[in-house]
Amino acid sequence: MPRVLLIEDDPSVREGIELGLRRRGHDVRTAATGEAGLTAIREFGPDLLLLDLMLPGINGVQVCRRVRESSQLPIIMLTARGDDFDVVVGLEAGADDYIVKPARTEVIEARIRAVLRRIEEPGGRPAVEFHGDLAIDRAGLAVSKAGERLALAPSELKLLLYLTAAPEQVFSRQQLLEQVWEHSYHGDARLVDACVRRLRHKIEDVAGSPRYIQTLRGFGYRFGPL
Amino acid sequence: MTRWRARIGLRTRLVLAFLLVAAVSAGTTATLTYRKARTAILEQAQDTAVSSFRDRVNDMGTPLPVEPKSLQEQLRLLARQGKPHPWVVFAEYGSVRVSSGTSPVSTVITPQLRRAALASPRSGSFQRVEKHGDPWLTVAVPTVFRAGKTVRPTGLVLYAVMPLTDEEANVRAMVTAARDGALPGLAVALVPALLAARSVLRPVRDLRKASQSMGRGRLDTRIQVKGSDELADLARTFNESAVALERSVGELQDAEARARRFASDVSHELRTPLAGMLAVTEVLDEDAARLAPDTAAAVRLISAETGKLAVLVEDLMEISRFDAGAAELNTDEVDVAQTIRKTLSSRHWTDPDEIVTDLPDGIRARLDPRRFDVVVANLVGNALRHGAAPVVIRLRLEPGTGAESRTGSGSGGEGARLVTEVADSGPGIRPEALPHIFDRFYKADSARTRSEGSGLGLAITLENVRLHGGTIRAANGPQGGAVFTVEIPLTGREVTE
Amino acid sequence: MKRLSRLGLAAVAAVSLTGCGVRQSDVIEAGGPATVTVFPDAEQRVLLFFVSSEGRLTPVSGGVFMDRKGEYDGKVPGEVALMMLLGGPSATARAAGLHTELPRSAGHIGMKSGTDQVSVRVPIAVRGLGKTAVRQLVCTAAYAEGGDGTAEVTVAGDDGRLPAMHCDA
Repeated sequence: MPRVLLIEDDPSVREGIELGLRRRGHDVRTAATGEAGLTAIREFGPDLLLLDLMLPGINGVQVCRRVRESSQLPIIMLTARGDDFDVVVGLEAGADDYIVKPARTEVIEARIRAVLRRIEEPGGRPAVEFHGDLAIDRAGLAVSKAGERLALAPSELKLLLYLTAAPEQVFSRQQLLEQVWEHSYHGDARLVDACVRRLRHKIEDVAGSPRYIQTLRGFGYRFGPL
Repeated sequence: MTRWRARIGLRTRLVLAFLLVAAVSAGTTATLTYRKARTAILEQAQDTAVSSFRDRVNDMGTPLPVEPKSLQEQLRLLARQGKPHPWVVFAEYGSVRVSSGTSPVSTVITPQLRRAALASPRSGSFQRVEKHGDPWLTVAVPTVFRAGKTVRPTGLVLYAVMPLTDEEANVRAMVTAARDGALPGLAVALVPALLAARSVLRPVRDLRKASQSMGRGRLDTRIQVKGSDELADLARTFNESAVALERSVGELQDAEARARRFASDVSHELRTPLAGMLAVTEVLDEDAARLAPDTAAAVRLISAETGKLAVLVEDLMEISRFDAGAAELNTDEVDVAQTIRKTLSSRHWTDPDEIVTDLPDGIRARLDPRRFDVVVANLVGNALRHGAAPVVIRLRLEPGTGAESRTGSGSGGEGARLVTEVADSGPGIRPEALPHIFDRFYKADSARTRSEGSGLGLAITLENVRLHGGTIRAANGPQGGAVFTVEIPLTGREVTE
Repeated sequence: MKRLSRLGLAAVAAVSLTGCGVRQSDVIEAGGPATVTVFPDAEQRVLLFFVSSEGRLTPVSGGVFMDRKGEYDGKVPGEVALMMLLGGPSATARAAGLHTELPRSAGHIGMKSGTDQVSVRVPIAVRGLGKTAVRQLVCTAAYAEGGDGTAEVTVAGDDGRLPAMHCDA
């Protein structure tokens, strides 16, 4: 069972989620502040971070940025719906998904599973694929560009793997949300957009004129053609 | 009178009143002047005629009884000396009738004049007579003679008959002059009348414009107050009312904003404890089976109500965001039929006995998928709860004609609209409930229990449709079921990145 | 507005009622009578009073009188004047519509004149005479013999005398 670190300042929410997740078998550690959370990441070494955006002291977005500086730890933000600006900022800061509070434990757990789940590998493929300057190691879940390994967040990696599995095929945002993020409901397309932006920043030669991840106006995204 | 006033404008009434006053004063002045002048002209003519006639008669001499022959000669002489006009002279003495003309008896002289001359032989008299359309002056002068110390009437009465045609011509000329003067005068009076009307109407117009401006919601509208007349008072009153209105509206808006903020704050504050509670409801549900029956029931109740409370608070938050104008539209271009099918399948509304769909493929539109999902889910959920199965969901594209192009729709699409219709097979909505169906917490059917929804579903649906620039309406179909129709304008095809 | 239009109507009515041009009038008194000269002169005439067709006392001036010697005397005796009166109006006077209300008579006539008093005696019955007839006698007597018509006249007849009276009474 995954090890989950929950950073949440409100004791009842903290305790409630901890209780719910622990009942479902998760190994849960909690922290009440951003500072304590960052310490706990080093000490506890969680598989996933549940991060409340509204924290006293260092806020959730700052925590998110700090984590992303050194690690590809999956991050799910806890947010209140309507705090749209925070959602966008959090996604830009590198969060992989977000959950709107209040949420049932089953919803939280489903998200955790989705983020942690590996993309199913299409069979009969070489271990390493080359697309332009990109080398994608599906087995090792590693991407390098011009020989240099790229640090991709889980959602970024999953998106890239999904797109490169079917090059030149167009996927709508809703399709991507369903397949990559496993959002069964009509999700927030900003998740896709933010992730694409972050990914482009890392893999494209010129972020402003992408060649790997291309936009098809009115339809969605595709990988290539190169 | 009132209808008359309503028909004729203020300007016309003012000008008419002005002209009426001008006409009355001009007419009265002209009439009085004319009468005076006419009297003067006639008196002049009459006095001249009477006194000169008497003077001429004074020179006469006659035996008594008169001798007709010599009398006639004297009369002819007299007639030639007539002033101001030649006159015809008649003499009557007993039964003697003599004249300077051809007929010895005048047809112009009236019996009244004759009677007066005979009845008072010591005073002269005259009378204006109209004969065959011509005005005549008839003068009667009885004669007396000196007898001893006294004078005695001779019994001889002399009459002079003189045409007044010249005087009449003069009088008529005066009438013409008065008329010719009054009509241009009235025309000239029109100028000050229009100016006066303008000066009166300008403040009225200002007032109207200001009222319209107020009506459009510009409550800071004020009128510049000029002078200190009644209209200035009116303007001042208007300004005072406007100030008062602005203040009360401001207070109302503040109160409303406070109330909304309060609702928003309350929901916010409720959310945090709910988040904790909701996270543990499963724990309660799972362990309830192991508890004593009463405790188990209580625990399940708490669990269930917590879930509903969470929905209610979420809906309240959503409404608060709409009220605050903070709701954002995150559009994406989607296949609408597919989107609707997703909505239905994700909620397990797939039983063909319950849900009938008519969703043509290939209709693409720019929508906020999450909000559109809420719209469809609310309408279908509502139909299933309050109506009866089967619920029919129809999608179609209405190519709007150019004239029918809706406001709020963006560029392109030429007014084409995406029409989504959700119809149930229930009894429909009571007519008196129809206007309120989208009100918050409105309960169309009093038997409805609280547990069936937050009471905000249709209100949120309406706001979501509005956010798309669309319209939603509720009606009862021909078969009696409720029909909700959502129309959303198709906007451009650009995709935001 | 209502009042104003009424005022306007009144004004219009006034103007129209006044009418235009010269209008007929009633008989209007204007000054005194004309004084004419009556021939012959006062010294040479005799004034007789007859009655016009309208019943009005009308003076008739008698012509030049010649005495029995055919000489012009200039004065007409009162008896003669009364005698002429009783003789009735001349043809000219009758042609002018004059008549007398006195009975014709050729009897003796007596007249006495004092300073302010005249008494006459006529050969007719005077008591039954009408008012106009008596005034014919009184006025003729008062103006006779150069009288100025102011004298008090006493008339006596066959049947007695009448109370003294003035011509203008």
